Amino acid sequence: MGRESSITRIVGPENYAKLQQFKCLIVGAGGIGSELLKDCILMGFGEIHIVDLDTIDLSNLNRQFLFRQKDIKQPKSTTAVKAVQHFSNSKLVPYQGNVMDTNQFPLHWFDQFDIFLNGLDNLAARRYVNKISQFLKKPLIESGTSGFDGYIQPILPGNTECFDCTKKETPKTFPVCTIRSTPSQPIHCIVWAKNFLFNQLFTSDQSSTTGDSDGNDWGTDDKEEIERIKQETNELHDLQQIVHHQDKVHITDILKKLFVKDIEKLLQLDNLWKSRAKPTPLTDDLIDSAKDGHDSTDLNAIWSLEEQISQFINVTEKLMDRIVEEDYNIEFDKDDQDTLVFVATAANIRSHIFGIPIKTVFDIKQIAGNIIPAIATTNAIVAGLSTLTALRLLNFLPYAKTNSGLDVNMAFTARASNLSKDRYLSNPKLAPPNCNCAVCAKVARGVVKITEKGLEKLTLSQLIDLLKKKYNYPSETSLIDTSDQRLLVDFDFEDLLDRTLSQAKLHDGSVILFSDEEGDESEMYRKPLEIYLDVVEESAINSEIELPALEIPLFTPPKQEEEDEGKETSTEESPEKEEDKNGIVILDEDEGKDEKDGTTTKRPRSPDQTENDSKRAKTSKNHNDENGVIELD
Amino acid sequence: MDRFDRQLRLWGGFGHELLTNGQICFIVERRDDPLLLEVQRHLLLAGISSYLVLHSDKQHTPAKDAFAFIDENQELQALNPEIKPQWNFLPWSRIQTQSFKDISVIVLINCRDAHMLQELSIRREHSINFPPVLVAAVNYPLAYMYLWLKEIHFVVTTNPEYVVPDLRINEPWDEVLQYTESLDFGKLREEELAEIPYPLILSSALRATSQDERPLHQKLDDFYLKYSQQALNDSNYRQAKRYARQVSRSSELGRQRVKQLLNRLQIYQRSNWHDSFNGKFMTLCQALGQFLDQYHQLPLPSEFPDMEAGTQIYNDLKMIYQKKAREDCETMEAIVARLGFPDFPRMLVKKFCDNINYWTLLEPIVNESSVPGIYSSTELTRYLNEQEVTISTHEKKLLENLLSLAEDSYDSHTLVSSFPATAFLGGAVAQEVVKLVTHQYVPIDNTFVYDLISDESSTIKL
Repeated sequence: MGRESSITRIVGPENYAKLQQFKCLIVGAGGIGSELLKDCILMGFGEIHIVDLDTIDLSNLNRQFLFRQKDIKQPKSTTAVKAVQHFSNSKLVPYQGNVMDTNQFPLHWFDQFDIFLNGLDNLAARRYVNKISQFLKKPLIESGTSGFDGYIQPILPGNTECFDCTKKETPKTFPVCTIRSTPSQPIHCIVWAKNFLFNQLFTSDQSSTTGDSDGNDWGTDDKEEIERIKQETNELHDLQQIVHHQDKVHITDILKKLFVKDIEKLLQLDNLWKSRAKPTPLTDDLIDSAKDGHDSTDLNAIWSLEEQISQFINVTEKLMDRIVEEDYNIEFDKDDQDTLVFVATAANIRSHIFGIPIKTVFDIKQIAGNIIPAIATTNAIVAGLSTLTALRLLNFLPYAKTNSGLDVNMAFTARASNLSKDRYLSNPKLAPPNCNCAVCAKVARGVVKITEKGLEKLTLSQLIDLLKKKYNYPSETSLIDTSDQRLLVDFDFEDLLDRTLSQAKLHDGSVILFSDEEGDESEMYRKPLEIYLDVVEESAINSEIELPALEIPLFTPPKQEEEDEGKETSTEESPEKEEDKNGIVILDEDEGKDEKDGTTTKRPRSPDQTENDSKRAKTSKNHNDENGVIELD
Repeated sequence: MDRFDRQLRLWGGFGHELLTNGQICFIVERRDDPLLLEVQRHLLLAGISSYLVLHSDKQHTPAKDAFAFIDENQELQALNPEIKPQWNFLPWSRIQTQSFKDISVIVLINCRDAHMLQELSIRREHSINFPPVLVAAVNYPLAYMYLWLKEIHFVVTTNPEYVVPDLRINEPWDEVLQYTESLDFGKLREEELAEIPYPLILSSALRATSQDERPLHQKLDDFYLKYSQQALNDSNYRQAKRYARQVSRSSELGRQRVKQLLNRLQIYQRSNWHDSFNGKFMTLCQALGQFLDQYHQLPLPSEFPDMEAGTQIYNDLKMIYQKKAREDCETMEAIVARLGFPDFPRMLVKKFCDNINYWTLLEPIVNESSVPGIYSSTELTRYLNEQEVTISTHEKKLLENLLSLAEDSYDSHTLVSSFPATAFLGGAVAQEVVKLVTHQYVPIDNTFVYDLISDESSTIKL
């Protein structure tokens, strides 16, 4: 039996004809993306567009079945499309680019699709596509895998929970002082080696390093310590010169500076070591004698300190050889062994100094590269479910009509480690939107069409007046650019009122948030309105600007306590994995997923632990800010 | 190895080697079956290189506009050229004479031909040893798979998500005791106390407060805070408090669990195994039984976790634990040798000891029917009757659907591929094969059914 008759049997002839007119967008052409592409073709979508930013890497080939050895370094999206062309009856359009790039992919570009299918690997892009689907009110199927476990979450805007309705695992962050002065876990040293040291020595753009600019969370109020950290950064510029001049004889100077002098300076800050074990600096002699040591090549073995030092020297030499050719800019890449060994050895030497366990290169690769183990089978399972669910969301199954998005299921494969106790596939019904969700429920959304001229002419003040009038907002309001949370206007900041939109750096694709800051007599507020600025041709609209027809509801802001409710939870099986109050997040944490699949039981933090933590918060002056600053990407 | 980097993180070099040496037999109606293609490509990517394909004797004309998204001859080869994949194609008529002794798993794909099933069943019944058979089909509106075991299947490690380290804090041995006694908390300064690893704090507390009947986590503060006012701010003591609850039960629970597993093995006294790995594992289990009888303890796993502690004292303690783990492992080796296996692979003994709390087993069905349970209407009816009270309405419906498929007269044309259910099941079947071959993670025991129209699924033991 051919493809057509098989699909017709599932969806019926009429729906099959419709399906052939439908356009879908696949975001990501990696593990899940290549599976989705194949499935959508075999299912008979009329047009399939696929976006990916990346190029193909050797470590993709164990699961991304459309790619071959010869395709390494080629763009994923176009290569994938070439590979499937021979069995496709659909029109296929590949793009190499970042889906979040509003120049390449403005909102009206997204508007051509009937459904979005995510095959993404990062939180930022997932959130972005979710937001786009909310703006356009179009269905999205979100999915992800980790090892043997996978999930799909269908999202029907306004009808079901959106991606952001449940708390997500956020990037792990650490206060600066934990990384730079007082590491206590391997991860702290790895972040130091990768985000700070490696960038300082080998990368030309250092804006993304551990940020010792003012305004960051230092995790400490100790002026002396902050001063030391800043000074240390400045001194590293000298070390960078050694690298740039390929001055191999002086590599030991780098070691002596980092692991002897800097540690000695740290030791002088008595405050740091009152309740902590002191670090033990290396000695110059040790460094000099380890220099010609034997090298271990086994990335799975724990190397001795001498081996770490000698490997550090070797790999720094290699990186020096590369740096001129590579335009004084080498970026850390988990699959680039030189950069990996550099980070691993530097982290391990630092660990040794601080009495922290040393790790193998293989293990550090996983931590530094944030590697999620991925296999083809789970991706296939998830993509298969995802495309089946697409039929359900589009209401193409005549024998199983979906009356509302809430009739659709999400799906989780059971953890392969405890299958005997669990169902293999659990598919809870979707929940309605979470009324506290800042993305889908707490704001109203609309697309404002504006011409290029409008951007040049219209002032912020005029825009605000238009919005107030059209949607009945009171006189006190505020306007924020959500891309960087930049305040444009509020009741005591009116400096920008007379700037035009383009002077205020608003452009095609800018998303601004307009909020009621006053409320009415009965303390009811207009919902905040999130606006997407869609720049269109002059012929497309009648005037310079066109506001969408929207009813903005009123609401009563919830009390603070309600919002905080239920935040303090931890998993019973893993006392190690709970979030530490001072912003140190242990790497293995996997809260986002656990929350939904319900396979792990959660309990409120036990009373003695809460007490314990609050006491600590009172006595400890350090790390009292919840927001860390160093992100492990 | 970079190609396999991501999956090595799931099943390790140990699992990878088993995959490399694995051989899979597919039994199919036709060689261009889309489900076969799906399973096949996943297994190639995972690193399995050797295949035997038993197909129907009928000649099938290639379907027009079929699901063949990969050219079965050239492109499959190119998926993973380094492993040099090899195929051997034979017609069903060769089932009777075929030796399956080198086959790791037989995967029966989209075929329910009565004659073939009978041939296979007879061959299986008459063999002392036979590989596990995984039955899989997409049969609109159902997609299902069923595991048909002839012998026990051992799982070296279930790879649990969360683990509690096995540190035997309430059952310390001499070295730990001596080391603990050498520390006099009363004489240590606060910063020295902040360097003590939590297992030492907990074992000292247990000994010093043995008269106090409260559970450890309730009496810990009373014991320790008198030595250090600062302790509640010390990360090592915070760890001690977190783990205090688990101390009293974890060793005993581990032993109970292992004893239950060993008891289940009592009835399987055989020396002849299809899967040599299962055979070796049985030997290890016998040795473990003797170890338990003699020492009333499980062998200590060698992994000693990271913890908040001073370098010196952490390393001292780690050495003590690793020495004990090494000795236990050597003792196990000696027992294995006494059982008649002097050249038993040492790596396997170590792997077993390290996963002593995480291994498990799947058992074959005792009074099985002559065909795979999922194709036997008697089996399905029996299950439905027995479970009538406990199963949910949706499960009942699924099983009734399955039953009506089993009762239908079979016609190869009723087995229709239903993409994307085929893609879904292909991934799931290949995943089960990987679990079986690597002896890691828990395979589905033994039936999984999914209805693509109602989006309901069920996992049961038939």
